[in-house]
Amino acid sequence: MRVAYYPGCSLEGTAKEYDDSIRAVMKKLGVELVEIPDWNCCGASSAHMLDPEITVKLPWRNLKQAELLNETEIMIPCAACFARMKHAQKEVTNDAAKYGLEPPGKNFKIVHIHEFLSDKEFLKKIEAAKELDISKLRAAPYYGCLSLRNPKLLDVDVREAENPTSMESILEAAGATVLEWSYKTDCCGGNLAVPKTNIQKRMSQKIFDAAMYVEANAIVTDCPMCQINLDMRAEEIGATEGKRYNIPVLYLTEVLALSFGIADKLWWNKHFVNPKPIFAGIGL
Amino acid sequence: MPNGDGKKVGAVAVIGGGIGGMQAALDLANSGFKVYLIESSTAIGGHMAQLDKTFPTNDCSMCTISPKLIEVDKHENIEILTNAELMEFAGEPGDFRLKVLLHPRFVDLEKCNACGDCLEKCPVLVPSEFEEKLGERTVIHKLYPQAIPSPVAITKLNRPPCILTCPAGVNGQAYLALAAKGRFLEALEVVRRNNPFPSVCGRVCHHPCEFECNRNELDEAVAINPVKRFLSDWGRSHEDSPIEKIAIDQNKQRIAIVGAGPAGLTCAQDLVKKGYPVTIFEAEDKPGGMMRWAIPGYRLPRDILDYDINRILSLPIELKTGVKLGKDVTLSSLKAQGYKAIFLAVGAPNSQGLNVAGSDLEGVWGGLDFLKKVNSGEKVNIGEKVVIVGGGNVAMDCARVAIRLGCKEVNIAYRRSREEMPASDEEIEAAIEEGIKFHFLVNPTKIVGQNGKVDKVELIKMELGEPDESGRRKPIPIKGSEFLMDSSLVILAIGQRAETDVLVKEGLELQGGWIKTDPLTLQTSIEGVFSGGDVAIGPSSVVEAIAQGHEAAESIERYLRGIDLKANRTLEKPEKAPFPTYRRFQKALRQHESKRVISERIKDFKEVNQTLSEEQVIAEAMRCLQCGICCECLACVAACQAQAINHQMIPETKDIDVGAVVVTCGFEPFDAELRGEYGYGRYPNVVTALQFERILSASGPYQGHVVRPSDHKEPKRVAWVQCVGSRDKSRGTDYCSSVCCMYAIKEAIMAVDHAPGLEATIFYNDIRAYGKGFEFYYENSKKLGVKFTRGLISGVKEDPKTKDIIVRYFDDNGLEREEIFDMFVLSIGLKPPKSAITLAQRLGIELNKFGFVGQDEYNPALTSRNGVYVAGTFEAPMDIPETVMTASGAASCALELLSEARGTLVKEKTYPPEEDVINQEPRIGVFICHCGSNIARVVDVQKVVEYAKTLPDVVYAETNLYTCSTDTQVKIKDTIKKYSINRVIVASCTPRTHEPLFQDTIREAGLNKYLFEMANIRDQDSWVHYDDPIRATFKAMDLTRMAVARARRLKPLQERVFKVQQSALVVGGGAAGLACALSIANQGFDCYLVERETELGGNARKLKVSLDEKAPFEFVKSLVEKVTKHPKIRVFTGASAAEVGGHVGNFKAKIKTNDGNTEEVNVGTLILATGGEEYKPTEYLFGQSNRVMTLLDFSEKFADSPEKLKSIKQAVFIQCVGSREKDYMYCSRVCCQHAIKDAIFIKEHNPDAQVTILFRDIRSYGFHELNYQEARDLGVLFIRFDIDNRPQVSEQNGKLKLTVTDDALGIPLEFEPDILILSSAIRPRADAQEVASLFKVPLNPDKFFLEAHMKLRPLDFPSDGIFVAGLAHAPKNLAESLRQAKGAAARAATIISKDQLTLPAVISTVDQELCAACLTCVRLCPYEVPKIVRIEGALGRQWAAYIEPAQCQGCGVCASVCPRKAIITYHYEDDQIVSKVEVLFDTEDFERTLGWLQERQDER
Repeated sequence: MRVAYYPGCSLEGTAKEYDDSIRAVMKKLGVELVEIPDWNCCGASSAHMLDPEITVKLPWRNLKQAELLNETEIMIPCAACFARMKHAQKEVTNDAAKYGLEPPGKNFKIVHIHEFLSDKEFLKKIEAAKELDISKLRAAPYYGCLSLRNPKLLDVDVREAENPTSMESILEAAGATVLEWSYKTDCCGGNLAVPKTNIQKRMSQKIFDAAMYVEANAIVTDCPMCQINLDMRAEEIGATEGKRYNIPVLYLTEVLALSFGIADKLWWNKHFVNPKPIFAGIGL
Repeated sequence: MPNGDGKKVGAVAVIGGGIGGMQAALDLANSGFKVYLIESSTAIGGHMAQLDKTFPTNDCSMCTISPKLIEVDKHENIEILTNAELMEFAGEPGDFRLKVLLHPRFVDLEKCNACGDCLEKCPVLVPSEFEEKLGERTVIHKLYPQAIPSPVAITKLNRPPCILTCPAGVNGQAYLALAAKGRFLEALEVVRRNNPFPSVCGRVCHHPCEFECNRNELDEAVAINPVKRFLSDWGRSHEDSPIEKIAIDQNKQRIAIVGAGPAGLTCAQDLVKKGYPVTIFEAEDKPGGMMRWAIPGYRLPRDILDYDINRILSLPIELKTGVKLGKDVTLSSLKAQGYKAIFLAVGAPNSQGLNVAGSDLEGVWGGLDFLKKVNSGEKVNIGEKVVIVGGGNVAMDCARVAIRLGCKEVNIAYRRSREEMPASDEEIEAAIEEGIKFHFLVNPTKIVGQNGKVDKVELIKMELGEPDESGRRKPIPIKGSEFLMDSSLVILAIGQRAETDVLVKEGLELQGGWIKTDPLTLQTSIEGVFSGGDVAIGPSSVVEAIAQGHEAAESIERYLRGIDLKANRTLEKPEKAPFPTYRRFQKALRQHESKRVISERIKDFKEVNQTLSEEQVIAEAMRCLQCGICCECLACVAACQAQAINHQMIPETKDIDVGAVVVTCGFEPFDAELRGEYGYGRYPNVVTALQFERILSASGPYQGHVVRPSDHKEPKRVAWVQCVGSRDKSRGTDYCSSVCCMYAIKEAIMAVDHAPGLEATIFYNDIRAYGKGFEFYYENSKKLGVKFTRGLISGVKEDPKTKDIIVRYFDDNGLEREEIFDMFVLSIGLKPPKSAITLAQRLGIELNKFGFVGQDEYNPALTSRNGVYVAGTFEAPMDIPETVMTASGAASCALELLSEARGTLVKEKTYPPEEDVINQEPRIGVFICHCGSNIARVVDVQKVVEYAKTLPDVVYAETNLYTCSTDTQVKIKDTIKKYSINRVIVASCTPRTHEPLFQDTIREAGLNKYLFEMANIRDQDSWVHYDDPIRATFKAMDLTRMAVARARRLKPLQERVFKVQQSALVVGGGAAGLACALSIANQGFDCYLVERETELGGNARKLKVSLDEKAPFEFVKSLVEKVTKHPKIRVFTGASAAEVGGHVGNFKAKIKTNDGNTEEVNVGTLILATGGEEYKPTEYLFGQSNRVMTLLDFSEKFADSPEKLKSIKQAVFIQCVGSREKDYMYCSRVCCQHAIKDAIFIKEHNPDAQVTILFRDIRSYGFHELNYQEARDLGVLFIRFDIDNRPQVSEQNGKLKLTVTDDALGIPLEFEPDILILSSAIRPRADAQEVASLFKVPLNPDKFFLEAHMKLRPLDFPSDGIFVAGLAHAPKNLAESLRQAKGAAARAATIISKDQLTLPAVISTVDQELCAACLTCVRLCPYEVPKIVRIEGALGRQWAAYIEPAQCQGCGVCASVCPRKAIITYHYEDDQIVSKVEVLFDTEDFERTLGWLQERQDER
């Protein structure tokens, strides 16, 4: 199958390993990613805090670009990009004139990666693609907030918004041991990382503590902001607290790649908390 | 169709059978109307039946509702329709027609005696709705033990996919359900109902059921077929069910069946079971067809095949083997022999050949020929290498047989790829395991021989092209790719054929090489000849052949009986049940049959697959999702001795004519999962408040032990969070649900009470304890240790190890805290039921934006459609007493509308004259009940009968299966006549539910109903002593002996009848009194209205502020006008009641009129609506500064001249002035809503004014919450203060100065209000005590009138015939007063609508000569009935107690306490009670029963 793909800026930089692993995994699952031609910023950075018009127009251009393709579905791995694109689609579908834009030419189905992969057919494919036993990977699935909330805007079932289970199904299909914990949709504090670092650190610390409590050896996320925010600060927070948060924060697709036996060792170099010792400990 | 004659119908439909519906039904039925009570579930009682205790009295909810349930059930003029849904509604007020759909209950209400025998047999459990899914119930069930109607009901969905997919319709769900319970033989019988070959199919079936199994969506299909195999093995190795005894009716037409394969045998079995003489003609020497000749023994051992066949042939079926169609018999010869119908099931025994060179060589075999040879035990020389051509199951069989015959190399050549292979996956996998080589995409082109024998096969490679008509891709040979393969034998397993030449010769029309038949009826081209199985449909499976056998039998029977072959038959399958949602299912691995090791199994023909173990089968069967809920195993049908269960019931429609409709369809709780942050449905120890009610309830899932769901341990710390789904704009529930604060407090109190030491914390916004007695209850709960923390929490976490709930909140000091609770209870709000939208559409009534009917302030109970009235929580969220009041109010509306039709449709029962038994010797009849097996299983009832016959005066004794069944009533009446019985005893269940029934029966037989006695040998014997049958029988004898002793002393009693004054006196001319009087008069009764002031209207005259079009005082003015003009109302103003005497139905009251005269009125009922008054504050400079005023003062001052508000810069309200404090520990209820309205009023007229409300809790319950929201939106400030830190007010230079400490900020704020409005309390009238004494009615400690029961009799006084309404009862707003007034009118109508009343005969009476006037009875009577009067006694004038018969409730307290034994309670006289005790300890009797007991124990 084919699907339109919007990587977003993170996946070209801080989350390059996310992009790489997505492409590897999708290939293995028989999905052809058709990157939106000449895509631009989704507006998530500072634009949407500063200018309500630009916040719509930026992602809207991406949707327009996507109309050049034959696809009807756009898969977005970054939670922030996903939220911005949904917002723009809703706003312009609702009242294009307000922004001086044309009404939409195509009613795309915009899906976040966890929704995309948790489709029943994919779960079967994931199960079939298993090569390595990753059952010793005790994964704490972590969604953060942007891909789920506000549920009305993102067309997420209100029950799912507080207790999503799609990553659980995906990880289970891949053969990981999936842990139940209460913190999977808690805010990681990413938006406060620069202005109020001490608050962000407290928020992140709660997540680390909770993951350690359920004896997780990896936090698995599908949001590049959460990943960098948690991964980058782990050591620093641990130092303040006199603890060692030696728990890698992996991308969902990295775990799938592990399971499929196609993970690229170079990815692990991009992680602040080195996952290799953990992998070695569980025979991977 | 409405009758259209303009006449009104004397019947009312009440929709919704909760407490509101029950109250409305009773009021209407007791006022002379026929009532249809329409309930959507299987029982009435609604949510109240689920509650544990009720606030603020902590009465048991079930104990208070259950007498009402029985009253409704027994009421002659209430017809309860359950499982009912209103479909159509037409007509006009006074004359409506309803179409009601009655969904099937699958249980006959008339026949079921609710014995419960069936419940024990039901194998399927589902989460109990009544237990809010904390417990489980059987599919056939009673909603709750006290449910009315008491008969059980069955829950059924569409049939599950397994049944509907099975060609033979084998009931997979049922046999799995039974197997899960270890009931293997019953399960096997379920299989055999549709499948006479369970052992065969359990091994070789291609089980389409498993492919369709809904469990595939979750993990993997249930192993339906392996379970079936286990059952068949279990039947063989244990005691199998006996072969049915069948008598053949030789007068019936004879039937010939040709072919003893699965189709033929099935058909034969079905027909022989119907009594037809059947002969089977089989060409081979043994029956079984392809099951025997094609399927190898390692898949289906011969002894097992024979077992199934022999069971069939044990029936009187004639089998003739070695008879071949076309050779030994023909169709015409069979007809000539007298066979009237023929079923041809001769199969497809010929192998398809291959048209290539060399196919005639020696060593080229047909697949079937090969298998048959091996299976019949012939020796076959297989050689070293074999090539099998084909990809179906026959090819697999040939290959695996070849291996077992010792062939070294077995090759399968198939022209398509693995994916297209038709053989089942299991077979292919087994073949691969056994070392068989597969060659895909090859096809033979030539068979090369040497010496006339096969030597090699030439194969050509193929590739797949476009899909052909079969949907599979067509194989195309690749030119030049031929190659050779060594082979000593070639087996062609490429298809089967019928013996077409024989069939053609018989004159049968063929189609595609098979007999042409009608797919529905299996009729061939020749009349009377039917055909099925492989010969008709081509090679197929055993189960398909069985299905054809069944269909053929059905057709043949129809044909022989001359019935239309096609009627009510269809090839279409009904819709399958989807993946069930009644429960959350967990993943669970499928159990697998073990297999013999490969190296061993290929050496012989012993069975490869081993049967599952018992444990595996139970585990596997439990994986079944029970998609249809009811599995139709029919175990209940077998258990029911009353034959009350009917699984074939279909929906029925009922047409009902009524004059009016009362809708009380109640509420449904807010779906807590919509507040996902609280983890409901995710964390097991997060429960809803309704679940917590069930946890508290003694009849609940944990028998009243407060334990948490995750580990059933007692919680130490429990938290409640308020407003879950209330006051919540984001979920569309902006309103306040009105009841949650109080029920949460009650639950917290009860939890502490159940588990001392338990810490209960309630997280809240505002505590809304606004009802009568609520504030005291709230304050008291703090003393009992309930902790209240202000502030709602935004979400909770769970400790994944302990399952504790972690709550983060800010404490009173604003500090963030994290606390761990064992349980977390969500105080869920009330929503209108989802079904209400459809209901409202059908009724043509409008709903507000939340889906409630909404409240019309001045017109209680009215909807947008005239003649349709509403009450209870469907109108707006409210508590139980208000529901009851509004239900009576809605009844009043119907009574007014239909007054002319009163009494036209009610039934009155007539009885034969009573026999005079006074001078007769007692002749006692004793009826001992089996109660199905409820009693008889434990108690030896026959023994009790024998014993009863030996007791004095007993002339007759017998047992009955169900003594309460209708036919037994007839029998009892006949027996009374036949044996001249004059005392009757039933030893059965409880008098609570059944005494009235039996009393009625003996009355119908001409006996006084008090000549009846009951012994409870079920609830108090067989149920509690189920484990000790001998001593339970002994106890049953004791109980019967005691009953006989009392029965001998029973006397007939007469119920006194007296005339009722059909008029009413209403005291108090305020809004409540006016509305009540008007309603009574509109119902057609005379009414007197007494008002002490010279003007009617009361407090409401001062209520001038309104946000709507009409102010309250204007409404009251119109009410006054209607009352004064009403011809049936006589108004006394400036008057008061002076003296009141008499009793219900006949009160005499003296009225002191305004001219100083006294006038006596004689009425049937009294209504007290004497009102209340506004407290005149002494605090906050009231009366000292003209800037300080009360709410009523504000209304007087500004309502008419709002322009004065323009100059106001600052207005401040202070709440709770004189309320909620020492000595006045009650909430005045209306002040918050009035202050908010006044604040909005100010803002509307002067938006710049700063308006502030100083409050303790804002109690804007119900839809008042919307005004609170609006006020905040308009900028009204709300500042919370603490009672211990009240606002300080002073005046300086004509300016007010107010200081208040903001509770949230903790800092003092200063105001200089231009006006200060005090929300002052509502107080009872100063003369409340006097009025209470005059009417002899009680007051509560706050001096408001105290009703008979705070929950269910909110409008009644303890003394019959006196009712209360308005402020005299408790603080309330105008709308609520009007509702009460309407309700009181209905309550009054239940008395004055009758022209006579019957006084109960069971009352107490004083022997005044004996009485010492000690006052003991006066003090202890709970109803304050006994009085000391002066009498002329033997010793001259003396004092003695007197009990007014019309007031006595017959409780017997006075008789039991009277020290001189001067009081007796009829029917419970001393000798009647004492005699029971005496015989209990009578040594002779005791020894007699003891001897019997000894005997039985020796026998043991």
